[in-house]
Amino acid sequence: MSRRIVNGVPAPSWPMRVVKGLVLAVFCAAVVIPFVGVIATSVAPDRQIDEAGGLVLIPHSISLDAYRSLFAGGVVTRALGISVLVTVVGTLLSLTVSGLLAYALSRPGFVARRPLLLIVLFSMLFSPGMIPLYLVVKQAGLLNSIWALIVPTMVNAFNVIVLRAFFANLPGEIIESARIDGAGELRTFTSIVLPLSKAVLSVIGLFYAVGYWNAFFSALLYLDDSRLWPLQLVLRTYVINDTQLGSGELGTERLPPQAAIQMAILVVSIVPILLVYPFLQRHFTKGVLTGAVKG
Amino acid sequence: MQPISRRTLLGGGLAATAVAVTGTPLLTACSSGGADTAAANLAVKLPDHRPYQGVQPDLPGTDRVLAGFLKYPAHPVRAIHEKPGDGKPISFLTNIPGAIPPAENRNRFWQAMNDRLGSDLSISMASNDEYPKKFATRIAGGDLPDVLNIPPTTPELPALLKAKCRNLTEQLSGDAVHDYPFLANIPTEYWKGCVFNGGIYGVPVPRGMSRTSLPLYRVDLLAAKGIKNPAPKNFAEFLDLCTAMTEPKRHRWAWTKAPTAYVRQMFGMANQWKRSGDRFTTMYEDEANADALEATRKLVAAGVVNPDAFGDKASARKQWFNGGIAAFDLDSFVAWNQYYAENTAGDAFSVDMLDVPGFDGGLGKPWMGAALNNVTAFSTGSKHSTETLLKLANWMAAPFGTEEYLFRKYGVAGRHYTLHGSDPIPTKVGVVETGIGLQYICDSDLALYYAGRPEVPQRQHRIQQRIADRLVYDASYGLYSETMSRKWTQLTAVLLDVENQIVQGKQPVSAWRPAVKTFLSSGGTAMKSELAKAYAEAAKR
Repeated sequence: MSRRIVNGVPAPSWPMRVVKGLVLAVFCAAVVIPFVGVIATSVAPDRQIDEAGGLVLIPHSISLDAYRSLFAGGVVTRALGISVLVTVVGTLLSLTVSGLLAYALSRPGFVARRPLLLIVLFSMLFSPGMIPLYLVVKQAGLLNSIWALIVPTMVNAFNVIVLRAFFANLPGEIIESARIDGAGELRTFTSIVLPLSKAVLSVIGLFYAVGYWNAFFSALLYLDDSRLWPLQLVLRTYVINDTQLGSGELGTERLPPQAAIQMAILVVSIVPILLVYPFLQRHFTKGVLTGAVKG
Repeated sequence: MQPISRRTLLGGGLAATAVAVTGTPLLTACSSGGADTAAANLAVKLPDHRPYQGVQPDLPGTDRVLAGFLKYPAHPVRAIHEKPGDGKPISFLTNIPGAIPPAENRNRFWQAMNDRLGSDLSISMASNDEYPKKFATRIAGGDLPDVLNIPPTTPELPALLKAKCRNLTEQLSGDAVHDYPFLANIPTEYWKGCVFNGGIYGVPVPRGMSRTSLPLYRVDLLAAKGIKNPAPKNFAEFLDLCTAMTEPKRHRWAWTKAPTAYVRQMFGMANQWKRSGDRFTTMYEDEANADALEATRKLVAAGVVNPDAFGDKASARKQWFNGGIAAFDLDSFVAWNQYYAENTAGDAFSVDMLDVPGFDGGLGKPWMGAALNNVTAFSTGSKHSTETLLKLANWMAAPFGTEEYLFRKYGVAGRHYTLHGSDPIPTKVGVVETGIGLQYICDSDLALYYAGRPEVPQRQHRIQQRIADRLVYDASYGLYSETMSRKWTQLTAVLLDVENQIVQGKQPVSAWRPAVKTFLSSGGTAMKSELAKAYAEAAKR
């Protein structure tokens, strides 16, 4: 019996299709089951979590106690708000500053182009270290301010280089024609260059946004006021540091198990990224290509 | 300001340059004169111990056994009538063991406390794991709060205290401490850990017996197997007991983790450091380690330890114990109460603690818990008077049974706890809002008590009385070794790794001796000679 032809190629035999299906199913399960475990444990009843030793896949019933405990003190809600604020404001500022810098560095006639480029590259090769950075932030008066989460990481040299490469490869004729039409540098940049660079700006924006969203260490060092702590620092306190919800030694009303709280806060921190990611995913590929072929 | 030459900058002098640029000393500023002098420390007259008599416990304490209370006194004594604060804000840097509490503007406990203190307490907090990084950065940045929680393992501690903190000897030495009656209520032993550079440089946050760790066991689970009052007389009986509590098919194991420390106690090994004459040796050098590791390996091979024990974290252990997956957990008196607080097994849930038998019979030697959680020091740059800060510490050290203790630990009646008889039962809001790290400013000795479960302090008191005379102390307590302050954590982590490999059967027991040799050559020998020198200096006095 001859095999069916699909797009000019013989279709795989049914045993091969079964094998491929099984392999794919195993891979899918490996990816999906941890997510299911996280969500299921966050809503599982206390007793079941304790008896299962910490991770539940199919909850006997649904309990939202962990989420209630998380949001009760207002700490997580506030931290979520801070993270969103830092991510949005930080990304916008980073894009603005990085874009302007990269455009300047991409223009052939700019006098200080070379020394400025060297300074940018220098920051890629040598990081200042924790304590000198702390001293700079302190002397800039940024301690205990939300700006301490934004300003020190506002410009990333790698992102500037990628943007510069993109700008430098824009057709010179377009920019020249803008000049002939009487546009100045700023006008050329905002009306011609930026609209042509939406893809790369989306990618760089996403890089910055993910960076701001995931940052916790600067908050740990620079912020004493826990009202300003972003979600990732709160998340880390619960999950990585294995912190108990309460001191507990005094005896108390029942609190949800630690595993449920940890999983609930994981869900809370994943949701915003899950909501945004599908809309931006395609740009990630473009970003990688941009960085790969233009240097 | 000194000019920075290109050569200085490129010559690797970046750290020094940072100091030159900012004028702010980094950690290196504290490292000069790092050696502490034992003789000068011994010359310090420690604060007198004058026990507070205002509250009488149901189960009396001794210098080792903690006092116990079957219920909270119905009429708590108001012990301090004057507000300790001076009206100006006091800043405090600390770790916190629990969840992040709501900030002051949304935390009614914090607000009420500020009102009682007469000064607003501004607390900069970090979780336990991240505190050392935050602490080191703040110190290096020269950005110190008024009150600092200093972990005893801080590197170059004497130099740091000398450079940045106040010498409190004049206010606390001998009977001067009587001006602060609840600091005087802290036993003298704890103050030894606060003496550096020939002075008292902080107030202690005492732990000691409350941190003594022995096997906690689930009375209810053992009873279900027909085992009551377990008291193995030697290792063989202990192994039998563990085997009886293990049913892997039902996902049940005896232990949450390999009880290596417990087996070492069966062999009567040292609690970290042992002194013989003027010679110091670590527990790791003891020849009995080979037998102890072999015995623990036997336990692991017998399958009595949860197979995930070597990978999971403390919260997983606690979950196994609470969920009945494991019947034994090696932990302290503090954890004992925590288990009651977190249990999901209902009223049947019941915990007790095993004594240590000798390996071949007789009695083992339990290890006394570390004396201090931390030392609390006052910054030299603080605008507050030393008296104000000591009054604050005194307020925080008011003991169990006082009205101040009730407020400090439980908060405001109605919102943070409800009264069942005279026992305060914390609410969920109470647990979260009160967890702002006050216990690390200063604290009284822990009292044995569990609201509504009088059998808990009774059991705790009973086991403490039983082990009190056999407790083994760490001989290095109160002596300073520079190398130990810098390398102990790092080097013992390597040994722990080898130990875990051995008990899991991944390396032979013979791997232990070379590991200890490496430990000694990498710093262990230096620690030994520094401790011996410190002790000899002290002995001369």
